[in-house]
Amino acid sequence: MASPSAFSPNGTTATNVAKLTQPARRVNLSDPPIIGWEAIKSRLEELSKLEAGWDGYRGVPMRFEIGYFAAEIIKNLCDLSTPYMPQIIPGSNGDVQIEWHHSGKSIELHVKAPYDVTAWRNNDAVGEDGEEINLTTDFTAISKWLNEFTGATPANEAAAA
Amino acid sequence: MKPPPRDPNGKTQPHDHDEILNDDFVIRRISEQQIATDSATGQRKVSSLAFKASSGENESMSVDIEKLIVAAGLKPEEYVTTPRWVGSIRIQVAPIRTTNCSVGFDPLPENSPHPENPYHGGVWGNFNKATQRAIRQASNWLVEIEGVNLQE
Amino acid sequence: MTRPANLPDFEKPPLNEVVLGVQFAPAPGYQQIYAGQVWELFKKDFPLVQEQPALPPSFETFGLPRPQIGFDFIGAGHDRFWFLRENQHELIQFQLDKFLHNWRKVGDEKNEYPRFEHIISKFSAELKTLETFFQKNFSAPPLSVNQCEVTYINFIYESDTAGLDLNDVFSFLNFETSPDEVACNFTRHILNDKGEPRGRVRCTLNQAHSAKGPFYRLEISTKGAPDSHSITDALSFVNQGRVKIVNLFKEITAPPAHKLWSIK
Repeated sequence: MASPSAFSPNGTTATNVAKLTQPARRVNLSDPPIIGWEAIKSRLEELSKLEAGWDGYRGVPMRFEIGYFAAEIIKNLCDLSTPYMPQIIPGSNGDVQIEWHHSGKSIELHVKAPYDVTAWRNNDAVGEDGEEINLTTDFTAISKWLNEFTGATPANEAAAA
Repeated sequence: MKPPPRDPNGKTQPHDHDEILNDDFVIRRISEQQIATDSATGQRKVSSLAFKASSGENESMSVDIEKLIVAAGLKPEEYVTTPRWVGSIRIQVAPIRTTNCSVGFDPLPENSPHPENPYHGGVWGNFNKATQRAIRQASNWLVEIEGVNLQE
Repeated sequence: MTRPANLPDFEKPPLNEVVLGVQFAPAPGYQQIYAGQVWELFKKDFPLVQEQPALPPSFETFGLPRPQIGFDFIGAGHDRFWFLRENQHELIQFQLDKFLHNWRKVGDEKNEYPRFEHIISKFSAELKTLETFFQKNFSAPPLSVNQCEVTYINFIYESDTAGLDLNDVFSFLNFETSPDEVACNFTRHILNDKGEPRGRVRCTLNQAHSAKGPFYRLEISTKGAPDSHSITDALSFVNQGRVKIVNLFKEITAPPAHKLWSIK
């Protein structure tokens, strides 16, 4: 929320420079105890701090806005209590790829920038070259992919065997 | 090797260098950060992101041109693990070009904190899944990351 | 710029605050130490400064209903700075990845709303100044805007609507007996030419109190991704957002209240 009234204490008087009254560097919002979310946050934090040249070339850390957008996607898509937590792989240019792999089946979301995502998946129906779509704001198709992906639960696999 | 084409800002432009022959090899460095795990089998493999160009216009997939390293009297497996230890794979140029990608020369000057890399090259093209798979299949470990499958 | 024809126009709207804002990819190499130089760009008109906690990035995405999960800041944060006019009616909010321009009622709340055209004209110039600063000092590419917002906040004082039923103020309410407490919200999707969702119009109504007495706080905002990352398209989104907000305001408020606010 951008309104200053949402954040300024009553009676604040502006001087030339006002002392900060709250910690500057963390916006701590409440985190429900969902399995896997701490791991996601921790991984994103790690990628934001990658050293220059981490890839052996001129790789840069994950870009600030890409990290937040990736988190937004994951929050949107994941039932974070499932065992199928995504992995997050850094690209050289500050981009990331969100990946799920299970029994040789994969879904990959390459986040190149906010609202610029290339999604790919493979499964028995679409073959090894898989299907690829470009996404901007609407990730409904990916929700469907994930539902189909997580349909292959260990219980189902045991029954099939 | 003759210098690559550059834009007015000095950035190397996509090109296919005629002094990089089809029988030559390029080396692609692979970081531990680029390893993914199958949640069912526990199998670790190199992420497909390692077989793509960086995001951005005219960006390339970075490689090192093996014959230039050798000609400089250096050992490739030592050169690509200095100053940072990472894994690396060795790929013959011909299969890369078969995917309609171009392989070019892109020497990098020192740019703190990065040392110079006069043997640096780039692969440009459309890195769809078929291309990524072809490059992966043409690869072999040069400096292996233990326990990680290169092939799918 | 001129006001769109046929846009509902109120001489005395119950506006308390208007916010125009963009979110953009941070300029490569920019760090908080340079925020003082950014203030220098605007200091002549905005000589006062305050520090505030930063706002997290926000995006309008569409998919499954979202779980309510918070998210901490990743990496090194950047404070949010308010650069205020001497009279504090208008301010600029600046942080690493956001730039906003607010107008608000302050003090005795008698300061008149200067109109959207005035605010967006300033906002547009300020954005271009900021873009030039990044380009000149950090060799940055043009500002890459990934999110825009426009927010109108109305304070509808009960004392100003004396004699009117709640149903006479809000057209979407139809109570036989007015409730004692009111809080509601709804959202509409903003679609592009291809019918793809690009953003949201959000409306929130609740009750509050101030020194002037009890009032209904009606907030309508549009947020979403512009067609491209350019300032031009960002401003286009902001302009279109304002049209949606004003039309929605007229839609959800009732004719008796419109008369009070002197609809033209």
